Amino acid sequence: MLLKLFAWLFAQGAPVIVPVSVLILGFIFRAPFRRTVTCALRMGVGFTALYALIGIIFEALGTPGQLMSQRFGIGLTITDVGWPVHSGITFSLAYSMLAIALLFLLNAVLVAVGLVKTLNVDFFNHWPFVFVLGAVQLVTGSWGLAIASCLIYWFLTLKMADWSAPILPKYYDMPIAGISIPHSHSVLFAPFGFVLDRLWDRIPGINKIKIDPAGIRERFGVLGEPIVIGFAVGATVGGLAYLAWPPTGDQIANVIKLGLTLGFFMHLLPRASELIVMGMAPLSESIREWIVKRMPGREFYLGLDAAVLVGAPEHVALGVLLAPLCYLVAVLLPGNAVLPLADAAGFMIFFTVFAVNTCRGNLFRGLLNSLILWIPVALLISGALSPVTMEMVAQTGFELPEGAMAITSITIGSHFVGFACFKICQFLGAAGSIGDLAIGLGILLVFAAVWYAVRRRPREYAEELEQLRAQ
Amino acid sequence: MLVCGSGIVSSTLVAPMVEDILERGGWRYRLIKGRLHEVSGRLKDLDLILTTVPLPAEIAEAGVPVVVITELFAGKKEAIARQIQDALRGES
Repeated sequence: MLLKLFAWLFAQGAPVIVPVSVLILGFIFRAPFRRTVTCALRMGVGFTALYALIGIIFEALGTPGQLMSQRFGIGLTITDVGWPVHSGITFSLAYSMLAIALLFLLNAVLVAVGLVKTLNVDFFNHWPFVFVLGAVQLVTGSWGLAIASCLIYWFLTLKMADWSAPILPKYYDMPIAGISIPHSHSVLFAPFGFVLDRLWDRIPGINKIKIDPAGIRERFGVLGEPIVIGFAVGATVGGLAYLAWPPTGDQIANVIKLGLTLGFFMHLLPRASELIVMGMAPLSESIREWIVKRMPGREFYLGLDAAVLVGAPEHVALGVLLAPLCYLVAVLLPGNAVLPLADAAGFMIFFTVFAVNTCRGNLFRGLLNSLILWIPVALLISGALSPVTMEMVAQTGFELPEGAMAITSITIGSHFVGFACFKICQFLGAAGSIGDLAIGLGILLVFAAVWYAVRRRPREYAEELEQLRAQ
Repeated sequence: MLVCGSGIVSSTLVAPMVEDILERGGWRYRLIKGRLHEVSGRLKDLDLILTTVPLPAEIAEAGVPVVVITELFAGKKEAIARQIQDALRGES
């Protein structure tokens, strides 16, 4: 009987199963019951809304995307639906909430025994670890490999948060002490920021350039507005797909409609995502309280989202400038198949935090780093992770329409270490070739070498910043 | 106004705690959530800004009281509640 009930629950897909898991976990961690119930309801609605939005994107972009690539050879056939959708897809995995709760507990144990100093209380941004878990499990069918790769990626992120923490209080005017950034979307790029900073120092000409971040938001801010980006991308794709010379009235109408549809998508996306986040609010709060209360006297870093840093003007400016510039990279980058959309507006500011705070806030270097490394890496990896994302969408109870446009998010592309773990597991689980293994190991080797080259840099950099400030 | 980087995640996660604090203080309120970019355009409608992101200086000095509430994530609800009450009392 109970088994049948569970089997039925799992067959209902995310809108039912995940809110139920929130209720059960909320009960275990003593979240206030009434609030948990109303929030779980919102979460179910959020998943329903999210999947409706994915359906809209599939329908709206499928045909024009194909036409565009047939007519002009512009092969941007994978749409970037952004982190709100990608996290939603990941949270739709039946075990997502349980996995995050267990990672929280394990994190507390590791802090208690002194293996790491960061206690990652950023409940939401655990989703990439769960994505790696789900992706490896889907592709290899092996829970052992899936759990191992998830844990390795998660542990490395905590270590990188510990490693980069000393620069934060020197760089930012932080009102609170003792935080670190176990934000896997951004912090693992920090070693590359330090290495490139050294490189730019040695190139005559480039080593002198600086850009002042003041006023950039006022001048270019409108280009980064979600609705504006949605409309511009929709109209451009529509134009390339439909317009002939001279254009007919119908063609022009199609172009405008596609622009408006994508604008609508961009506008509603945060609302859907917000409902899902609301569903986990009581649970995340009670787990956090439960753990923080039980932490022994040991000092630890409070691990938060990179979003707590982005008030600095250079981050704001970089986020605004990269919204249009990432299209340039997408078109010019060989091998790229991803059409930036949602994350062009909603992710660049967080993604590139460590592209500029590792270079003394030099906006020019932040821009250069983002254009030559951060964005290309994210585009290529997000394209490579699109197939498994589509599998996940299908598995969580969404029926893919015929000829649907593939989706991904630039955000998932920022997880190069998670991607490397995924590739290696693909090989180990007999679901990939030796080439997959080589890619995975290659990425990890480069990462290890770059980190090793600058392993002492954060402390030294913190001292430099201190001196700069004293002057 | 309740502010975070994206206007989606952190502000939603702390919203119930903030509502709780305001209700216990007996305040009548209307809470709007939003992202960092939206603050400067709405300044004149706001009585109080609660933020998980330390704000740029030009906003922080614009005359609307600001309370940084990032520490709610560290479980320091009482201390933040006191700061919010103080800021609101100073205002009215």
